[in-house]
Amino acid sequence: MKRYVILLLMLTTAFWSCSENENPVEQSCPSGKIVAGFVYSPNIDNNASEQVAGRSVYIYEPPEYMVSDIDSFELYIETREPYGADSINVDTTHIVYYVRDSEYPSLYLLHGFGGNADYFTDIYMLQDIMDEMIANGEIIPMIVITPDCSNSFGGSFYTNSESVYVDTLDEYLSFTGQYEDFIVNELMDYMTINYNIDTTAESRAISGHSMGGYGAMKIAMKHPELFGSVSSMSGPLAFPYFINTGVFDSVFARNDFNPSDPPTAEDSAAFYAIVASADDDLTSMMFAMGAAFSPHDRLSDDTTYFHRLREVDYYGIDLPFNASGEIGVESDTLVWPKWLSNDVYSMVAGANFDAAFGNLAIFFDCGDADQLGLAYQNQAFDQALSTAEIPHTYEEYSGYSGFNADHSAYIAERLRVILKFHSDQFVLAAAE
Amino acid sequence: MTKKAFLICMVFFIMSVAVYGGGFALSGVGSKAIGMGGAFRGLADNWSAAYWNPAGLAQLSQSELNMMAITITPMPEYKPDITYDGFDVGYKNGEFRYPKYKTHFAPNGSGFYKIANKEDITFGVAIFAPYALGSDWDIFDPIYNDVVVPFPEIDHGANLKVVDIHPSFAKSFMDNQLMVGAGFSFMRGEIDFQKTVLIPTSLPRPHDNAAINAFLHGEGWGYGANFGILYKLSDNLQLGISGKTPATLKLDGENNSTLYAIDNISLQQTAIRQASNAAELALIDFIFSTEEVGAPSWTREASADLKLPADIGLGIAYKATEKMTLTMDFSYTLWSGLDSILINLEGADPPAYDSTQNTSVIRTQWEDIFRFSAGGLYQVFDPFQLRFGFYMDPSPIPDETFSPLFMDIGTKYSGNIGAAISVSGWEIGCNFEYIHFSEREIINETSNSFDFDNYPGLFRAYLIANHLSITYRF
Repeated sequence: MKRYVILLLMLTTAFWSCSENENPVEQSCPSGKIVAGFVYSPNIDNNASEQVAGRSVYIYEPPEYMVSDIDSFELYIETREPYGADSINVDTTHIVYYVRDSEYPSLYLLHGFGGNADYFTDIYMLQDIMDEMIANGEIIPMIVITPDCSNSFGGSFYTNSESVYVDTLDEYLSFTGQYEDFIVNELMDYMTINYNIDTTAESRAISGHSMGGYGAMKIAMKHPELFGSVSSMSGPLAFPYFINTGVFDSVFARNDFNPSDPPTAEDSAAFYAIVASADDDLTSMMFAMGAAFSPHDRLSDDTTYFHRLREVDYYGIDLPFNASGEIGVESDTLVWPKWLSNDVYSMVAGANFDAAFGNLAIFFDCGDADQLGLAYQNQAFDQALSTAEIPHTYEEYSGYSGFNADHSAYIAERLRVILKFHSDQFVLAAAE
Repeated sequence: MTKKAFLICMVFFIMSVAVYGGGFALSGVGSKAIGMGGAFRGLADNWSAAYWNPAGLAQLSQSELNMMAITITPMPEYKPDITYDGFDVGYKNGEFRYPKYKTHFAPNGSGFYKIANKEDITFGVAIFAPYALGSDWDIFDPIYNDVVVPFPEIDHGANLKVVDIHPSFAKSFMDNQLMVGAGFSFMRGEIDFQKTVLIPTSLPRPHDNAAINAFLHGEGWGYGANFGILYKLSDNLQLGISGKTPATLKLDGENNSTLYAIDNISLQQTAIRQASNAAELALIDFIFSTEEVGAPSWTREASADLKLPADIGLGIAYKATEKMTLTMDFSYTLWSGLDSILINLEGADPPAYDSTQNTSVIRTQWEDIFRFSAGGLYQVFDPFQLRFGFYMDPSPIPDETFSPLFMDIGTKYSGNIGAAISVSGWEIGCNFEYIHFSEREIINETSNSFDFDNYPGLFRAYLIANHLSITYRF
């Protein structure tokens, strides 16, 4: 009997179990941080439409970036005990100043229409993306600056807006402020003073989405000596295509403006009733562009293109179409040419192009289902650059079924692409 | 131990059968039968014949009580590779994930009675767990990190327990050369499903989908029957044929859904500004449900029919020597009856998320499978018996509907070794079972929405089960 029991016990040792498998611990990346800054801009302060001059700016500092204010050195006090009878019988205090040797490349990242400084940080998860890409070695550590360039019209288009006469001051003032100058002067000065950044052009880049993509491209074209690379995500880069891609027609439709030629009294009433509103981004954007490019000359009583913004004199803007719905391409008005003088496509393709990209590395993209028709604009800009033999890269991307690559849907993904582009350019420049 | 005390323990043990049954699908019933790889239809000479071939119950020479305990430790692994048209939607791709560790406990038991002077008749009742599965996974987290409350750790899972209360009857004819038997299944089932459902928001990525944790619970009864014939071709050779009818578990319960709302004021304001109609605004309100609400939950009544398959099988038992018996089984299970699980829902979703759907479908489209088993037993000494067996059992689940909810990954190769000692009316048996699953890799997703029908990625698994049985004959 004993041997049977032993045999049975041997078999019951077969009652094995398994060691527990643990799910992999999810590694958290070293975390950078978003620091809120504030910049006073004299270039914006002197404006005719009461835009605020104090500008928020959010700054991404990579994980290794220790000091956000170069005036705030770290202080260490070390107290040493006497170490021998012959030593000086007092404590020794050491003050150690740490100043970082490395200088960081910087990327100015401009928000889109309707946004402000938190556009990329809050909506498109800039910090998470930066932390992850740096941790994975996809990009080098860099400082990313996202300034607030909004205004009461929804967006400044990063433009030094046209000046208008202000009778109370008896002088001409920029209508909404000078945002291009704010970027290239006050903001860059602020970063140079407060951050340990590499101030060479090769280590500075500019990019943006939508209005910000347009602003980045225009500022880089006009100031190629300041930047090593530029990119644009879904930017309006060829204004003439606002006409034949139905954007103006959409503005007409949204405002119940169905013009005929010659215009009827109803047409005129509908034309002058077109107004920017919070629930109509497209019309609001046209008004913002009008405020940036073609504010109404308050000394002129020509109301052909005029849209009054206040019930005082001729305070308002000119839109580039009249009560007949005609876009002023062939007219004697200066409205449309004013827009085109701010259009990067026209600057490259037309006689107005007197700037050069210099050695800028250029990248731009657009979703293939952009509801503003910006894919056409970007294709045209791509063609214009090719014709001018300016090296560049253009990518047109698609979404997934049921979720098209429209104007804003994939910016979180595209942000990764442009960050990689600029990082690669920084590395290339450093290697040369 | 007195007979009375033993009987009390036995009753308690049998009653506890409803506590738990787990794993993915149980190998069978009975320490001896499983020890022989489930090649038992042609032998069927103990209480577990109620499951394998009820005709074999007629071979019982005495009344008997049985209890059996099974511990099952499934060890599946899953490396997700789930994207939607190439875009990340929140699944934890690229690393092997493991379900919450579980060793399941599944007791079985039975009592069969031989009527004095009626040795050709046996009747009684068995209680066993023929179907069970269980796994709880952490394979998803929303891409966006700004949910109002943290997403739960366990997000996908299925737990199914079916207990069969199985009265059976068998009678022998032709001087025990022919035996027939039948049994009736009164099955109590309980099922829990949990998975992530993504609802489109129209917001920019990564907020293009909001995550809902959907939990379905149901329980109910189902009825079926099995039957069998056992025929002695000679003193050494025995042939068995048995099968069971399909059954349907009528489950009633509830479907609880919890939205893990987005907490992002900037995004909310942008979304409101871009909304073009009242319906979009209502959806935005829903997606951005406030902190005071926490994670909004809602419950709908649910009912579903879970179809359990019919099967039929042929078994042969051959007594090769006085001490050695060899067996072989072929069986065919009609899993194709489980083409989908239709869930009927009553009650309303939140207005903004009103899918107006009163049904939800878990697509299965399972396929019939053919199982082969072989086994044997060897009487080492008079009271001591060794058992051994093997089976090969394909998975009925096609790639198109395979998910970690039903972890029958691939063809199962099972090896078994067991032993039993019989002393003075008592028999104690044990068995060790190892099951290796063939690896499966799902390449392409098959769904057209975010309610995925299948889960791409790489699946691997093995399973260890231990069985211990005690029989008392009187």
